[in-house]
Amino acid sequence: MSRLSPLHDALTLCTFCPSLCHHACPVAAVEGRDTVTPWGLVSLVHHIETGSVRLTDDVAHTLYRCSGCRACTEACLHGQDVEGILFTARAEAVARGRRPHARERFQHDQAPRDPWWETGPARFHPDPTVLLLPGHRDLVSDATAVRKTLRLCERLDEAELACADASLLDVGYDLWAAGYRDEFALRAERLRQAVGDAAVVVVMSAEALYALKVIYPQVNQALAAQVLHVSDFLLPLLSGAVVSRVGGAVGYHDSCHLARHFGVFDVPRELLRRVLERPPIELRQREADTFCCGGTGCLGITAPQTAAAMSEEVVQMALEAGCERLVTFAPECVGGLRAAAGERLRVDGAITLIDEAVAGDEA
Amino acid sequence: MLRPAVTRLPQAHLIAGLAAIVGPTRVSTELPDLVAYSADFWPKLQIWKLGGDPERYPPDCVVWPSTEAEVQGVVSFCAEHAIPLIPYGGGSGVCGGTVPISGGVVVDLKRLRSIVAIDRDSHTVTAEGGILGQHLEDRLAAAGFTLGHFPSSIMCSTLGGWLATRSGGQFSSRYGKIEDMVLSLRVVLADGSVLDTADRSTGDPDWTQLLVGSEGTLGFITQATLRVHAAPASRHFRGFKFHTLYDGLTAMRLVMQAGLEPVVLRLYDPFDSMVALGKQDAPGDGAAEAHGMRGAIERLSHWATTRPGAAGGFTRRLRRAARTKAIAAALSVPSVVNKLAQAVPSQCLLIIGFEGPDEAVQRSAWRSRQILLDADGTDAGSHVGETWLAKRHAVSFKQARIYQTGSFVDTMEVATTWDRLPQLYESVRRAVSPHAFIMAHFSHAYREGCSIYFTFAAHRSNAERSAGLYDTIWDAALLATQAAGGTTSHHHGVGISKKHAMVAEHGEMLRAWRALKDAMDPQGILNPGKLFPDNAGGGA
Repeated sequence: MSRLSPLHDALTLCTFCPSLCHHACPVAAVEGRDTVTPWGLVSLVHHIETGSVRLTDDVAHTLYRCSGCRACTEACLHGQDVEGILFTARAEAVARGRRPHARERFQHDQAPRDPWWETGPARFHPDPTVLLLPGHRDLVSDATAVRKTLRLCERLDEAELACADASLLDVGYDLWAAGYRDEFALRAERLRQAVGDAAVVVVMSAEALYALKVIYPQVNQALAAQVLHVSDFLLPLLSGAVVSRVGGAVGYHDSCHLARHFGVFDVPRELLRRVLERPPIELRQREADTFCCGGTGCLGITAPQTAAAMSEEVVQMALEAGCERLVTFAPECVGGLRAAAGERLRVDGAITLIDEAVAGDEA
Repeated sequence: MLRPAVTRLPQAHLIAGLAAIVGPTRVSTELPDLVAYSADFWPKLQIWKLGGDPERYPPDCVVWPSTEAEVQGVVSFCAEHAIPLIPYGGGSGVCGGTVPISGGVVVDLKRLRSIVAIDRDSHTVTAEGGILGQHLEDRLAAAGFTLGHFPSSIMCSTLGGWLATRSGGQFSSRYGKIEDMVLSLRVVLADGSVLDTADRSTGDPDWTQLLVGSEGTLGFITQATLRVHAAPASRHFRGFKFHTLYDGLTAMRLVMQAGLEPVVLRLYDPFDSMVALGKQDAPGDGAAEAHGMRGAIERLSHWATTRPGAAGGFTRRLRRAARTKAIAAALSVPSVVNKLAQAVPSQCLLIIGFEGPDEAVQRSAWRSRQILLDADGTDAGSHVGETWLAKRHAVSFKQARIYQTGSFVDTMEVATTWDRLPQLYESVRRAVSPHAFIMAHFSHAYREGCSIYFTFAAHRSNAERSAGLYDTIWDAALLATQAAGGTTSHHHGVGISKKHAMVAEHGEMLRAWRALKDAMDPQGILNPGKLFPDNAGGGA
């Protein structure tokens, strides 16, 4: 039986809805194309499922024009899981040999350019109690933010957080999003084993957090450890810390995974309030209404121009709001936003900002 | 005359020509795009889709221009080669207005989505035609204004689409329809030139109003300037109940003719009142599943089967339908369901709402309450009105559920003056009752008359028969409307589905329309087969 058959009712529900979530979709907003609205994409899956449309490479290619940001789900009275439907449809395409994007593009095994435990604080332990897991390819390949996180722990008298071999692994979110389910399951098993007996895993990537907490259990690879986002880990450490508050007009961009998948709005803002001279500037679209910057759902790989246009939208919102600098707690958002902003706006991971405040002149 | 071109350039030449104007990534002949743009939300096409035919009227290609200059380029190119052009906004229309029944090039305007200016002194907004309604209203709200236009499609329809179809919103009794809001338009005409109606003196013929409602048959609306209003400081919504529909209608008329300006004044017939009241205590998604028409039919069935003396084959069938929650089974006996609906002892719900400065709102609310009570209404409280306001878009989400039950559903919005309203209501109900379950509410009230919004649902069999039943229902409904002195459309437009009724409605003026169309679109390439019948493409 096709993976799509159990979705029949859900597919029908979207197909015969007059696209009432259209306004919420960031991909549709920048492309202006009905085909890539949640209605358009789920309808396409419906036609594939009923046999009205043949699943060719071209058709499969269209299924990748969604970032899985869940803005549509938020707007839908039925709470339709469009992300889940499309990611399943991609898995069906892959299973049927329709692979418009090769697996290698989503399988991130590159080694770090400079292993952070060699150049940063000496925080490597073969079997740590509290494991730092960057979780995302950008962090693994460019360890600046990781080093800053470790340095923050040094200065905030946190003794347990350490890196291990597992820290070098990407959690495999892109494999999942792209429909490479078997490869993802293998990655999840490898990572779970590498995590070993750690009691707590501190994750720096929001999409990696989602993968570990929600997707790993679906493939029977749930971690025994408590999984925390780095913002949750840092907040208590900052209580009572001496900080040199950072000035300027700093805006905050909610990542889709933190804001919509987990409903996390307050902790990141509280952290920023503790290190900024004035409260973070709110963008026109924020919290559960945040505008996806295209940094997730492997959209940057499968539709880079669309992802770039979505980042540009967020940058425009930040400029409209008077921001000189924009920060986010999701490293997957940083690259695209930075590229879109160019010289107009400084874009950083929030860890960089906190590091500046805590490390002061040493930052 | 008005003969859409049917000859085609070789596809490669068509694509190359358009790509030279908008760029290669903004032209598509890919199957997913052709499927997506082969239909709007005309229910007849949903019937075909359910029958396994999602691509009944595919375009030759789709283009997405980003600027007015690109629209001009596309139009000029297609005019040179006599290729049909279909202007496309949100694709949310329910009359087939954007369906490429003659093929051709669908021109999706949603990349023209900027707000050009919000003039705080003059209280106007200038925006591009492709902006989604919700985005426009959000941006206005952020600036402290409202357009006052809230069609139930606001999430998925565009400014240009509103203007092309003379759209009406839920707050039209106060703010008017879109044609009452628009001040000027920029339109790309069939020869590729641009007409800016703001350049014409207001003392001359009103070119804006000539183009509003032309449904893409005279040009592409690329930009519009509209009046806006300061965001309201206060709102007051309230519900009232009436023993009979006609008591409620009299009350509505008295409110409007007293000079009050409610944003909302709507009255539900007995069955639609059951649906509306079902929403009052419906939480979240439950509204879509357990309430609405489906829940109301269950309640109707319960009443029918438990009242003294209830018996007989039809009621047993209905009871079975309710027990299995199979709305389709109930709809297979529409005459019976309609008779029961007429007999149901349900009161008629009236919703009234005001917004504006606090003092004015309170004054109007007090005055209207006196009128409604004097007209034998019962005050159902503010929570009824506030719940309506909060859940007013929920009904749109229910359409798909109806299709899931093995039925199809459609709506028809007609209007007439107060003196003819009861007859119009009864005539259409009588005409449709043998074929489909039908209910209605009266909304978009004005001093001189009101719109009736009929909802009908029918049992779906195979696509061919269902499409035939669909046509039968519409033919009966439109004939009854015309006989009772109603208008063919109030705010959904005409598209394909009502174009034949336009002939009878407009009579001799059809000649004037054709002369205008010949003058502005001599090749008949702009949205062929829509609004009025032409010599081809009328058989959808």
